[in-house]
Amino acid sequence: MILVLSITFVTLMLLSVPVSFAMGLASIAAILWQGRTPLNTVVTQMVAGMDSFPLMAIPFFILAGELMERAGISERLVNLAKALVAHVRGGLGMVVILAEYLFSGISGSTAADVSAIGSMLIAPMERAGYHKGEAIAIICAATAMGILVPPCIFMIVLASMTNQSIGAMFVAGFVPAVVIALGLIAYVYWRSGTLGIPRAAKATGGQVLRALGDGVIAMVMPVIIFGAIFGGITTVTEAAVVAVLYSALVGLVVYRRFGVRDLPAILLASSINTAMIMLLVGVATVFSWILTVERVPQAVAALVTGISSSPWVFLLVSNLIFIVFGAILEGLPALIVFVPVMYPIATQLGIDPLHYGILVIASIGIGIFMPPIGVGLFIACAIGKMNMVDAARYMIPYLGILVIGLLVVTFVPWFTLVLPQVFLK
Amino acid sequence: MTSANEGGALTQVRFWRSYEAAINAVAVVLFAAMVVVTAAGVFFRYVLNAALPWAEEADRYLFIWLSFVGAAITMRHQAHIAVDILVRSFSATACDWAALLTYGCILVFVGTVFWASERVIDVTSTTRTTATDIPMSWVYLAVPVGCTLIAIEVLRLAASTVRRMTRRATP
Repeated sequence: MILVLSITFVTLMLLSVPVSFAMGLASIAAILWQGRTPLNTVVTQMVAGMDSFPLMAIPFFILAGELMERAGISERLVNLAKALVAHVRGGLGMVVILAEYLFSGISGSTAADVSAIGSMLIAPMERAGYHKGEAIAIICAATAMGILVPPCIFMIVLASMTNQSIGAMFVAGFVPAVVIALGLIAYVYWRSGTLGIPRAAKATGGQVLRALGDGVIAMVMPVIIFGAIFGGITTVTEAAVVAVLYSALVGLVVYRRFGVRDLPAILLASSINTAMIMLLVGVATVFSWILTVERVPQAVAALVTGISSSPWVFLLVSNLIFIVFGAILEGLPALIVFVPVMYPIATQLGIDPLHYGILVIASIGIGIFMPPIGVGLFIACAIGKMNMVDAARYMIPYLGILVIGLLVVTFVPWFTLVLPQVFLK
Repeated sequence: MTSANEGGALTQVRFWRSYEAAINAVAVVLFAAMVVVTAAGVFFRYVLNAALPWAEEADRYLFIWLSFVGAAITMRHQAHIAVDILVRSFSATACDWAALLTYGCILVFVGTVFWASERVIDVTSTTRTTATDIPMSWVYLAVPVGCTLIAIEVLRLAASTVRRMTRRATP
């Protein structure tokens, strides 16, 4: 049955059948092959998987991100980051890293982050003396790091698949993201020194104040979201709706970048992203139900622990799996396919669920920007109008930094667990 | 004769444009309703101290409907994640054949799910939901409706692929 499942799945995917349909058809094939379960199970399991209030945080965060982006929030965050750090060595590179950290905390969508920051900063970076490839690589690496900054759609899906608290997973991401960001900042600092990129003029006190004033409206957003969640006022989903209302207010009333007439188009764009994710979640429920019935995690666990029962070896192997398949399957599907198999093994080996979750997300983040097939790198190259192969050359040292950061976070669980322990006692 | 043909094509374009607008409107209304119901839920519980017992359940059902209707719009925009590493190296004609095969596979999937959903809807038509007190089958109805809408989009995509192929074959 598992053979039928995997062969059908892989063949269909190679034929470019969308992952969600390939997964659905493979599940149907497996159920028919086994012949004991009625096909109704596909329908009931799919709906059961989607029928979840916590998962509704996904459409609301997507919508909030879309509204924030159209309200011109990303521009203001970039201006704020520029006023703060543009004058130091490697300033614009650091602007990218800081802006991605701030912005990812709002939008929750990788593609949106890359295109927003990329379209705003690639040209100024080139003018400042960075090679276009260098600019693209910095943006890619910074976005890969930014995935760990909540709110993050991957975290919502992962937490609901593994019955963990979404809020706990959100807080767990902050410090690991800082660890990786520091690595990137150090490299950008060193690199722009060797490239001899001139520093920008220091922003005057007035400019800094103005940028802060402008940025404050954006920075209130994460405060509202996390205040509401950890103050015990709302669930994550409800906090996401508050974020939607706040960003709509900012766009309609404060910045006046769009009107009520533009709202349907914004809702429609967000429905498309939502439906793409939810169809995956739905069929994944059927898929992982089959894996569980066939006791696949147990079989894989026996195989893995037969080779080495060290949790560290398992963590390294799973980092590798999620990086490679994060690249091949464009992120989310990798999570949906491998988490049902790998997560039970992690708990069996005594690995902290939050630590494991953060590693999975960090690895997938790297995979999304892995040359030559990472979809995030693809988007960045399209925005920068550069050949992927040329850009890949510049990406390699940054990939190295990301992997080193991932290893640090892997071997020091403290980075992941410190904040959840403080906040959720 | 050509003008009659063009007139027919124009009516067709108009028809599909209003069809798309109608489906889009359904998704937009479902999404907006989700925002309003959830916000009302927070407001009533936190500000007025009188929780709405039906809000969360209604939200989840709107969400299921949005996911299935939205899946068809996503299909129209070809925004479902697919792996094209292998197909990318194909010739244009081979690519089109692979696309047709893909559309065939999607039709088999939605067809099977449509057929399987009939029994689920049958069984659940007498069950009523806890807080909103509607037949559970209304929720499950999203499945065959979504499958039908997806099938329509897939057939439209397939038709345009076939048109492209015949145009290439007859220069």
